Amino acid sequence: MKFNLFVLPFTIGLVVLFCILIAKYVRWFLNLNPEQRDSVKKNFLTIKTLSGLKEILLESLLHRNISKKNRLLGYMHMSLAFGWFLLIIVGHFESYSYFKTAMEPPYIPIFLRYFQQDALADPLQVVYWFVMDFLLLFVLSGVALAWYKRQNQKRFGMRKTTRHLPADRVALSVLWLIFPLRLLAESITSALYGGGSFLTSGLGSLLENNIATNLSFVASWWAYSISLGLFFICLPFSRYMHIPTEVILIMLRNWGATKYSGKIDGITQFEVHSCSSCGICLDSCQLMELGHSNIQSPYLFRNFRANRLTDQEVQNCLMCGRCETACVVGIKTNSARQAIRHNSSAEVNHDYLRHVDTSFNSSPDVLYFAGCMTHLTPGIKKSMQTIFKAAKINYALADEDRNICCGRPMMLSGLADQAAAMVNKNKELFEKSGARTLVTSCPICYKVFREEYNLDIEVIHHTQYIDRLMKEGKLDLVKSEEHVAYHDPCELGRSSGIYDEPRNIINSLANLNETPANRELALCCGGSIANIILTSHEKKELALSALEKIVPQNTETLVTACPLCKKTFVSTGKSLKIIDIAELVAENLTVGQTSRKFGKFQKVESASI
Amino acid sequence: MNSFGFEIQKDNTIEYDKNDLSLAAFVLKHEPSLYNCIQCGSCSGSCPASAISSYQFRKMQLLMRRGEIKNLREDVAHCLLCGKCILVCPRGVNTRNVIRQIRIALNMN
Ligand code: SF4
Ligand code: SF4
Ligand code: SF4
Ligand code: SF4
Repeated sequence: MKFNLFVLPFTIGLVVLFCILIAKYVRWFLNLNPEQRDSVKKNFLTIKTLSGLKEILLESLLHRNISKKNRLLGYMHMSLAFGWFLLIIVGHFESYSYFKTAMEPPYIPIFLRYFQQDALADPLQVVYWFVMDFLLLFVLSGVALAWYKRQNQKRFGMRKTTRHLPADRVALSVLWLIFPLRLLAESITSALYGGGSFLTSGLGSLLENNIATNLSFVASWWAYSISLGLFFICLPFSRYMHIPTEVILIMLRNWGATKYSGKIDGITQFEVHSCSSCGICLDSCQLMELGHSNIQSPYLFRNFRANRLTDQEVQNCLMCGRCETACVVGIKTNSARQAIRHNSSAEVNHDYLRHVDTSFNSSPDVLYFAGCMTHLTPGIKKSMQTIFKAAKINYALADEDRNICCGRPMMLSGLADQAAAMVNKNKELFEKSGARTLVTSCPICYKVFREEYNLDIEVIHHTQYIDRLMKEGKLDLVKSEEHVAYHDPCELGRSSGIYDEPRNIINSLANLNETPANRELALCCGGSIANIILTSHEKKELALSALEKIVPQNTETLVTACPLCKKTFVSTGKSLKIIDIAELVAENLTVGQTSRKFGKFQKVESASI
Repeated sequence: MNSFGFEIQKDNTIEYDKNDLSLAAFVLKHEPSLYNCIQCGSCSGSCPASAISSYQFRKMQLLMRRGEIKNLREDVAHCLLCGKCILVCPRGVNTRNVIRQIRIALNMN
């Protein structure tokens, strides 16, 4: 049998790696919730498996998504991943062509140049040598770029790069050593025994006279094997765990097993371990502006994996979802953070909600739920009432004098189970009303009603509702010459995908000036209810900086569709008209349809604070 | 008897020397914005929990700072974390974090 002691570090590393991976993956699989497991079973033997494999090729190996962000960065990741993958695959073919068996121990194709030093009569060998040298050069170019990137991340389209933990740095150094060591070992072999192609035999001839000795020959193969073995052992405890995990995550996604349970379950583990700490999402995080530079998703996930999370890191996040949009792996950063925040043992007592009377003295078709935040921006509520009246809708207010929170703020703080009393009471309210449509003005309520309440009635945000009323011709509106900007609220846009309805409305009422910070790339107003840490001063700073970017020149008005965004922007004191889309609509109703002309909303607002 | 919605407060003596002020110190250390509170009561006025229960943020934090913490646990458990109080507070008190810090201090989280 072909064997030498130096293969041991590699072989042991590989075995240890596989044992750890299997142990972890089995545990996480068992932790998938029943719904997720069912969809794996259902979709396992379908076309979805094939599309998963295709995605693995495109993302895990070719890194298409990263290339879309920056070509150089994409090339760097591709050369390392795809190059190494090809080295292994072609190595296996080469080994097969020499030894005519596929049952060789796994170290043979890896250390092939050691075990097959002599030139063969086979003309194919020269081709293999060339291809393998070429692939090695390909990978080495990636290593060089990765090293260069550590110094000059700006060239790769990134302002910030991730700061790593010691374990990650060890793994990184070992990874960078693997391929130069392989080059050295193969070149020395070529110098002593011949063989190799342009790269290894070229370098070999340079080393021939002094460096290539029997001692350096043995030492270099040992060093190469040790670097591989070390890397394998570091892998499950470092960020490189993302390499095998992302592959599984892609399959799970294709099998449809991604519905979050809100707790740390199997899918959370797969997602959190698929983060490579690449840092591509860092620049999108607005908290960086405030100097909070240790709470972003890669740090959250990394410290979660290392079991060293601090409360600050978990809580200090706007849950704006901007990093989720930026993530090249498609990690559901918001859901993962919410799962990490989940705390089922926290103590609350909401029994008093029992006393809230949920009866109605009318039977409305449409129920309007203003929500806590809209109660604090009464202009929005009044405008909605004007609109309902103008369109002659049989509506009722759900929470006029019995305002119960929708429960989402509590869920965002990790107390999802504890929000049950609110959820049940609100559900009771909705059911008793007998309405078929539930309209909300607050995107926070909208999201939770739609996703967590399992309601039988239609849930709709007021932007969608007004758009519908306009299409049905129920509102008599006039278009003004005003130039307005629109701010996409996080919970309505990125989180719920509602971008077009507000734009339809605005386009028929005013001139909309868009900025690059719109739709998926919209900024957070800073007032997010998901962040319990930021001071009022910091929130204001975020809001002012966002306003700079979302209100273009010669625009007098900023329209938004969330009472919290409005409130946050208004309280910066910036001299700008800031209104909700419902107010814009009420303002532009023809006089025949409204008895009240809306004017200076900022004044109304500040008077009501 | 007619009920006007008012009640007569019981006599109350605050014994600063005996009361335990360590909890207040913990909360103020972790959320110093509470020092800015002017006891205006806007928070309680807007609070959905206060509208239907005896819980009031202003009163709770005032009692806590005086070391009257007998009912603190029960009180703070009422909060819905909705965040209305933050939005109305004229002094920028991070009320929700005050609540969270009380919960942490009382081992309720
Ligand atoms: S969700 Fe927003 S605030 Fe939180 S880490 Fe991502 S980008 Fe930053
Ligand atoms: S969350 Fe995504 S983009 Fe951000 S570091 Fe992790 S893998 Fe990269
Ligand atoms: S967060 Fe708590 S204290 Fe503040 S208004 Fe809401 S329920 Fe009241
Ligand atoms: S609103 Fe603010 S300043 Fe007024 S009592 Fe409440 S916490 Fe204090």
